[in-house]
Amino acid sequence: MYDRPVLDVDDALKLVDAALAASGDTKQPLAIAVVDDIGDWTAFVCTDGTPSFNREHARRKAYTAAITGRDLQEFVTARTQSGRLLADLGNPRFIGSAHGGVVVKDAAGNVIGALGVSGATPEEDERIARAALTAAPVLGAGGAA
Amino acid sequence: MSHMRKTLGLAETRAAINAMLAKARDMGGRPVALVVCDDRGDVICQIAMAGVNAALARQNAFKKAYTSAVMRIDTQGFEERVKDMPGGVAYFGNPSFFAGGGGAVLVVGDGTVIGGIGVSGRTNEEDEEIAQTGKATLLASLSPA
Repeated sequence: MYDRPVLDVDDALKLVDAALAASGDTKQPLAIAVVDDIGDWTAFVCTDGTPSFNREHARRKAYTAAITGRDLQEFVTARTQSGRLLADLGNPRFIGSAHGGVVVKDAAGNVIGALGVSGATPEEDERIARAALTAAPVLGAGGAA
Repeated sequence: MSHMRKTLGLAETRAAINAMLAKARDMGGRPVALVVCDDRGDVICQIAMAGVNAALARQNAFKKAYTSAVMRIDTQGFEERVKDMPGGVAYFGNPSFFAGGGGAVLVVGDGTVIGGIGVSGRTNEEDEEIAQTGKATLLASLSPA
């Protein structure tokens, strides 16, 4: 038996709010998904008028980052170097994007979930995701100051 | 002919989610999953508390929100409606339908259905109480008093 760090809903909501704040534009269509370490949803929001395409993408970005334990940029780079196709991995829920999906770690560096952002340009999705992580660091179980 | 339709937005949805999370904590008990969707069953905001029942709560919270929105009736009332139908809720052949407490339809003053709320994780009665809190908060946040 061992202790497993778990992402809490308060941390997930802080990440979601930090991402909305980082966007800075309430008119921007934006979907933000936070999942736990096995890719199950923990929090999700989308701004008014966000297309279904982006809602689904935010979820898939978060899921892919959580399951692989890697930021999407790193995952895409590693996969490209290995010469494998996304389909070779055999998981139909994976997404091939390289932007807007980052892992969420606790204070000890354990991957406890992931954050996915979709709605703006790929570069802007990525910036928002990273800004949210910086603005709302997850302390995790026992990590609170 | 095309027309404009009143559509559920993020501001009132977040108000409901926050109120329901506070209510769930006040009541005490098992962790819950909370979903608010628009009139077509697309999720606007959802959260799951850490440790929520992995087999049931996320799925059922969504099913309750979806069912109340698209069938335009609280899921408790839906249970009454289907109880004498052949096969009960299975009659519809829609695996996303849920009959039982914990789903609340969102109807505005002119009768327009703008969405549904779903709560799962505790007993149907407790889920229902939390859902009705969310419904009251959401509808109150819409009316400029």
